[in-house]
Amino acid sequence: MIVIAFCIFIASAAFLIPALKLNGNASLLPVAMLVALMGLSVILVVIDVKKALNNNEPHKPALQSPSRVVGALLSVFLFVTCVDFFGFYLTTAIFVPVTAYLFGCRSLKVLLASDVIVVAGIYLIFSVAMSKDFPMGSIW
Amino acid sequence: MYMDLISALPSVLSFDNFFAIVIGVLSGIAVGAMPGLSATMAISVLVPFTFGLDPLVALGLMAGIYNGAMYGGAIPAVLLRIPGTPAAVATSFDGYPMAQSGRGGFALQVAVVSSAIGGIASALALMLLAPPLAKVTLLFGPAEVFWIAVFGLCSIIFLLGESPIKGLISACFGIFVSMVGADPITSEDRFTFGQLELLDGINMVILLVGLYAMPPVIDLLEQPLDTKEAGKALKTESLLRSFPRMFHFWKTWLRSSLIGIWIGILPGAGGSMAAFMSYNEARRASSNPDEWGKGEPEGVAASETANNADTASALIPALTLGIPGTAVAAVMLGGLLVHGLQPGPMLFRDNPDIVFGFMWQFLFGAILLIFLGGSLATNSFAHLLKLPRPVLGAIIIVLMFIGVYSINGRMFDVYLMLGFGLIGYVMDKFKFPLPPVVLGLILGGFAEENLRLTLLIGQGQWSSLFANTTSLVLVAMTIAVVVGPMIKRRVVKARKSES
Repeated sequence: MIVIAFCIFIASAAFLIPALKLNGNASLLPVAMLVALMGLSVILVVIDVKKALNNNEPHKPALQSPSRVVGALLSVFLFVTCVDFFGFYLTTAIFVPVTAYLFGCRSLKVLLASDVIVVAGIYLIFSVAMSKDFPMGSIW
Repeated sequence: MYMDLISALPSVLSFDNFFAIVIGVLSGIAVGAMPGLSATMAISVLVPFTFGLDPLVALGLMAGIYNGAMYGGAIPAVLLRIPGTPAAVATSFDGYPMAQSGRGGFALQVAVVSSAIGGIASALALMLLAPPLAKVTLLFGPAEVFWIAVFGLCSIIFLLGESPIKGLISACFGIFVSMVGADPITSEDRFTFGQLELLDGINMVILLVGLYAMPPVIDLLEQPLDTKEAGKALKTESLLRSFPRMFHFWKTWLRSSLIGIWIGILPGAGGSMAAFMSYNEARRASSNPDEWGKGEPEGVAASETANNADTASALIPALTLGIPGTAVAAVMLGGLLVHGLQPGPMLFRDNPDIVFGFMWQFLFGAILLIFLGGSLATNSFAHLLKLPRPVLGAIIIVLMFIGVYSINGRMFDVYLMLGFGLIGYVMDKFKFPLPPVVLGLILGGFAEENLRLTLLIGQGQWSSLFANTTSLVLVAMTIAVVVGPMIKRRVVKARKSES
């Protein structure tokens, strides 16, 4: 929690610089909010330290499986970046089965079926019926 | 205003609207049936897809999802003792023992009928109570509107979640996000850092999808789930034949509906609190309380009636004052904003056909639950539990992308959503409440505009914020909401130390 509070304090302080440069009433609420965030993050640290001093129970980890969480977050970021570079349909067709496989789905039948249903479904609903355009990929 | 309610009925009965409610209820049951997915997440992912739709059709989808998901949560609660939604925890107390003794089909039938009854009662409460409240709030000026926004924020911060400090941080973050873009009065750029994409501010949908869809997706990929028991076929008989066996629950249905409606109206409380309170009250009133927890169908009825009775009633303060009672109501407010409908008293004056149509949609959604959530459908939805969670997670990620990209056709919005998603995940893990962020974004701009308007009218005098009785009453209510829980905590602490 101390790390989180520290991050809130630093981010608020960083945004406070441009907030103070705003004219008159335009800066009223932004400055108030950022100062409040800085103050609250300090209070958060104080409360957390007090709690830690009074509590002898072992600290419970926030994540059950940190490696899987990092993997999941990475896969989301990788998906978006790849869509930007290689295009939406190609990335989706690879992303759905690969992610499902990496996170524990080992049935080839399920992987193939879900891939075909998802890509075809999106194409029919969004590209054909709703005429939506998706990124084609910047490298092509 | 009640005439407007009747005039809105024909448009709701059009094919498009009715079809939207049906689809909404079915998708809601499906979402609710999958542990880890909630109505809040489903509505946040759905909102961007409704851009091109008529506002009433879009709201019908949302009302259907909300109603359906509250019942859908009972399916895994009964079959696996894993509540599909937090509001279904109390349902598992008696639902699971019933399923273990081969009465899972009957438990789900009790759940669907009770959910429908709770939903109908809630929709009727919304229809009866919202119009007179809106009429009163129409008389408010900018100072009162500012105080309503402050009251709404304080209610959510201090009544929802364990830590008011964390609630305050969430709300300040939401308000700060609402400040990004051109200043509403002077048009000065605020925190855009030269990005043209930020000039119009941050779209509500981007924040909603990031905050509410990312944490459950990561959870889906993080934890495996044992769903072997979900494959077992349920023994069910026709609802018409089993309904007479539920008649004697009428007192529980009535009591739980009233509890659910009351909890729904209170800002900060939610479906799970309604279900627990109603379960306890029904058990207290029962002639055989020892049987509860061992497979008493009345326990399922109490919990399911209350958690559905909380749905439409949570929209009473949301639609009339712009203060949502629950997280789903906050997301629904976002859905209204996406369609250019500002929640609050003006909504009743400017768009009566839509706001009253929305109320009818809640009523029809609740009625449809009985027809769409019957034995055959429930059996099919139970099979959804077998869908591998990693596949589901990957599909939701793709849907999140499509939803956010479709708003403006820009990758910038998708990267922004990822940023909010990461913040949302961290906040979720460290127990920072998410509804105050959404409410801060909804009410932040609104509060700022009315505050500055009041100061302009009052020639810069801060006393103009306290110039009339209504403002003072609202200030007193705000103080009560802030101080009340603190006093309560102290009293409880003092009593504990005495004993």
